[in-house]
Amino acid sequence: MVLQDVSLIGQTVAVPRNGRMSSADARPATSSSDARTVAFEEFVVSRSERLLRTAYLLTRDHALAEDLLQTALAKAWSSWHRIEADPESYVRRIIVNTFATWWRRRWNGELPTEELPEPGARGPAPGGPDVATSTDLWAAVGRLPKRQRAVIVLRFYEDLSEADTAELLGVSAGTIKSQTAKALAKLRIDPSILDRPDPSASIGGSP
Amino acid sequence: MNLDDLRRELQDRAGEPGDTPMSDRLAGVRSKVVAARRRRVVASGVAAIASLAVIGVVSTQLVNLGRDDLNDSDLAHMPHRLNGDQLKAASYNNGESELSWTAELENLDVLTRATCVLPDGVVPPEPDDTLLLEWTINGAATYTVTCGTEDNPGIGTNGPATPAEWRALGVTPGSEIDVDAFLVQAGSKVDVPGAQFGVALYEKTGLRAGGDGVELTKVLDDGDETYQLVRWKVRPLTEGNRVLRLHTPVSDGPIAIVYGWQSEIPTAAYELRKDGELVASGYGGSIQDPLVIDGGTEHLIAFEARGSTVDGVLVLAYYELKD
Repeated sequence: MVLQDVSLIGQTVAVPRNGRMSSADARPATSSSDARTVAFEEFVVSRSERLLRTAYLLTRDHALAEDLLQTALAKAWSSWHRIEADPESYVRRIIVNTFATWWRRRWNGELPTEELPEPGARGPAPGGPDVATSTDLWAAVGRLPKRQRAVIVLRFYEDLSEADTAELLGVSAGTIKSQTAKALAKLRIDPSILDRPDPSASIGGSP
Repeated sequence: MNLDDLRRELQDRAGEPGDTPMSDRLAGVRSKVVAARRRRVVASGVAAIASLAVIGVVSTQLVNLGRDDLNDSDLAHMPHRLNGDQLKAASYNNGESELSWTAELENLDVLTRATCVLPDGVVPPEPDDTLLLEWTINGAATYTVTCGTEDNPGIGTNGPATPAEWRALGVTPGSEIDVDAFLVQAGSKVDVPGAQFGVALYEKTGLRAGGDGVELTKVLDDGDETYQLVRWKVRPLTEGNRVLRLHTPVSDGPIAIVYGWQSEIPTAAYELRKDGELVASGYGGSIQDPLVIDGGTEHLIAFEARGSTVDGVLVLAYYELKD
């Protein structure tokens, strides 16, 4: 196994280049501080990919998602010794709240393209997934305000209950209920979904 | 669309892998931990890099833009609406080391906003070597903003922002202004390849509140969400009155804190505390970017000017998320 030295908080530990680290890979802890570092890094190695997926659903950009994840992990590190319950939930809470309160400075995030997308080919390929539906729905989710998008991700990707989502976001369950309803209503009336003809509907046809 | 479609879509999209090696991720976390520690100590400051270079001048000209012009590449870098104000004109360096730009002001109800972003990997904070964007209007009035990063860009709104300030520069409605902007380090022009900077003019169409020469927009927007001004305090700084305090109530969503020390002589430090905990610090000179905090509980926000300078106006305001 190829190891490289990565110093996290002023200490150096070995991390495999392929990103997977078993407890045997870690150097023995010599103090509580070392143990904390090792535990934190093991957490990063074992859980960060899953957390990254949540971050990606929120930011919709791989680089931003990685930045959001690293920001959340850095915040979590400062209080790592105080985390008694599930650290993954703790970091997820930081991710979602950091995302929701990030002051947007990257302007509108729209990237110009040289050519307009092809207007045709919106229907599903024979026997294949309905690519147009997927693309439109993903785009519609991206048009939701940050907080509503976070609620949608927590409720329908993380499968959290209204109460758990409320606790994670630090708001009331009633707020989550109304935010969910508003977000779903927006998705249902999003023009990209509304305008799309139902592929199962036939035009004309035989008697 | 039904909920199964939505669940499937999220599962499919989330499955797209990232490609960051774990070692890079850990190194990134470490650098953010170190940067956060530095921020607690250092008010502001950016990178030491930059080789001196011959600076070529590129000239662009945008005068009183119509809506069609908003697709111009220079304008694509700027938010078209900001806190209720409307973008009217902008110039961006587009890879050049300097920009030189002429614009015509139809009226003087216009504010300037400059931005400066350094490329990745150019950011170890070295306060003595801070990299600044300097821009001048009509070759006389000079303003600066500390450059930042993609995630935390340098944004300067300390240029002229009121009719009186424009008139003080000899600008009248219908007259042209010449804007020059370039990077400066330790008092000298520098070229930082990959640096992005620009200057924009916004017509002040947003509603405002405030006092003592300070204007607060009644709404704040970050492109995604809008915040509404709820309460604010504006007070001249005096020897015996260096602190502003605001209680913020419980709210369902987060709140945005706007704070600053508007001063002609920004030579002393300020601190912003939330429930006694230091959350921001810096030097006077302008109103800062909003700080968004959790509104789930009551907070006591305190803004304090420190040091010996007694000059300027203290500003503290909070905004609630508008549903």
